[in-house]
Amino acid sequence: MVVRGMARAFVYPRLELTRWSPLRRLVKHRAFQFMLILPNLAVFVLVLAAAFLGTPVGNRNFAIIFVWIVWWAALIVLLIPLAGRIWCAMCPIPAPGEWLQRLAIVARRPGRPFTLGLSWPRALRNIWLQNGTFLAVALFSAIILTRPLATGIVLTLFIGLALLLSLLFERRVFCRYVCPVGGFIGLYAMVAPLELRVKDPQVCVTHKEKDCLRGNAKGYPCPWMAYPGNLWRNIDCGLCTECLKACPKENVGIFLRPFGQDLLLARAPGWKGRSLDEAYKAFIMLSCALIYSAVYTGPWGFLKEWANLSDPAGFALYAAGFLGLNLIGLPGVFLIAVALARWIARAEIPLRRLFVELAYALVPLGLTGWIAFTLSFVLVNISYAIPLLSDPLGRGWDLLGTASHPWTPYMPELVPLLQLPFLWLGLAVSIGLAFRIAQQNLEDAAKARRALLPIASFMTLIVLLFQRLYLG
Amino acid sequence: MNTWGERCPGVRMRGTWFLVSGIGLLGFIAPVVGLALSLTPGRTPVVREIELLSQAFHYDPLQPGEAHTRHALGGRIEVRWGERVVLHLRAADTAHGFYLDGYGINRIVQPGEEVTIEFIAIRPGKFRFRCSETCGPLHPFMIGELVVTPNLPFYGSALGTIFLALAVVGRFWWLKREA
Ligand code: SF4
Ligand code: SF4
Ligand SMILES: [Cu+2]
Repeated sequence: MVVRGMARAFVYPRLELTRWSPLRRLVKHRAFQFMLILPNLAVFVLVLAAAFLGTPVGNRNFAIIFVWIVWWAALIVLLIPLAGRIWCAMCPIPAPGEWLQRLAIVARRPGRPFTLGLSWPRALRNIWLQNGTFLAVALFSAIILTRPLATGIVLTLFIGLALLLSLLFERRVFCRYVCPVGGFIGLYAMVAPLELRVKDPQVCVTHKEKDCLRGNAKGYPCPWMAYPGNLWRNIDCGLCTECLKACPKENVGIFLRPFGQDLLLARAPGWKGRSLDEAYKAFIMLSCALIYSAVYTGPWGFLKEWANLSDPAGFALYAAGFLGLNLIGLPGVFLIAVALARWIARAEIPLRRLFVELAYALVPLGLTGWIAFTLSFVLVNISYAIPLLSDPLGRGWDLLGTASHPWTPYMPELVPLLQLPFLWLGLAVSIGLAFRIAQQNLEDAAKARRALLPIASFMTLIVLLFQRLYLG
Repeated sequence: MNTWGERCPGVRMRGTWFLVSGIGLLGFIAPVVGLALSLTPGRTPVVREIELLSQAFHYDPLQPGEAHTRHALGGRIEVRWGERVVLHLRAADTAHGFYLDGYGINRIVQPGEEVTIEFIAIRPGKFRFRCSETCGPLHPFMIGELVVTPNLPFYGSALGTIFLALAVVGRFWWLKREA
């Protein structure tokens, strides 16, 4: 019998997009990633200029509106669910560091990279650090999302840290292990119907030179420290296309596939299996979506004041509640659900193991929860972007004649009707995934069915909480 | 062996989805219809007067004569479906706006003045009102809630969620017994 969830050379149907030669030529071109980064870098420079030089009024500042509404909505509603880590391929933040490391922007420069080349500490080769950096940024979100200067400082810190780390360590350790955004993009990228993988893992096994790992004249060694021959999940690949360029066997491709395949994977060669750091990422993202929905779209003025650091005691309470819910509250309730599941299924598997495994079932629900939260403010506030197109730096310009466009919420009363289908989709998919994961870990389907009851109840409760905030 | 179930996954899937959507729909419609029927038409229109104090970055609804408390538990106004609502809007610190979702009402109030806003709560559900006059950093999140009871969309969709969960779990409990 085959082990369920084992990577058996891609059990799901895949359509290789790179078979289409114009696309293959495009992604194999050395300038491909640079062309993706360039427009984003241009906007990024404008964002920094607006953040430091523009008006301090958040909703009239290009940096705030284009980062936290336009970019955020595009990222969470379109880019991640449809194309996974595609943002990581076009992100301007690690670019200066990577270019300096390579002493080249587009070309494949041979020779030693410009870096101390330390290797990343083994204890940090997981996403715990990313969980921490995300929580740190998220805790101060009410400041960062509303003050251009704060946004500017945070983005500058990111780019500075990415540069520093690229000088100290090999490759893109910032993206892989530190970036607070990279952490959840990776987690939710596993849902996406797009993947970069090898066509046939067997070819890699027999290919002794492994150009993708060492790099060759056509491509750099994988900046994300992945080995395509053992690459099974989108979380591990930054879609930089270097291996696609380097592989002499033409064994790497970009594929269309059914949604969410990486979440079904239980074991694969060269992968340690589902882990607690990623499970916690799923908890943190889910609880943050709930907390943000309450703080930003709720009517509770005191919560906004606390989050806004208006009084230190209030903020201390808020911080305790925020971290408590993220790290203890939600995982704790889930642990109780898993313990119940284990008990009524009379399962042998250790509680901790089952807890980690089943946490991955929360990924689809977390993503749709974030989409629902994003929908609650994007249609209402996207019109703030219109005048800024004409006057990005707040200098009284009117480049496109839209400078005096008023704030216009689009269909705000229909937002709950848009949120509901996403929440329901997330719930249905997450329950289905929980059943599959239970099947992988419990001895038979009957046990999996019983184990499903408390887990599905937990998920239903989460959706009801979202509904209470949005409609209740 | 259940060859029918084994060989025709398409048929089985369709059955499942029929069940899921059927139950979900029922869960959504039943309470809406039930509660709508229980509302007696032609009730005498009640006028609800509410004082609404806006202050960065929230709204405090007060019953007439009630003292203002700074940390009111959320700017939430509850009225019944069909009531005529009269809001007396004031601003405590700086100019604020009042934009009511679904009603197209958009007014600005300066400190020291009182703006009266009148409308009939024509639809049940939760409608947010938002500040429409830039008033500080958290201005885009300055939000209050008008809940027109009975909140049928909430109760209906909550039941829908429960039925959906039951249907999906049920799919694994019953329809896959043979598999
Ligand atoms: S170079 Fe190509 S064939 Fe060789 S190991 Fe890497 S991906 Fe596989
Ligand atoms: S696996 Fe290939 S595309 Fe993915 S990050 Fe590594 S080199 Fe880039
Ligand atoms: Cu305001």
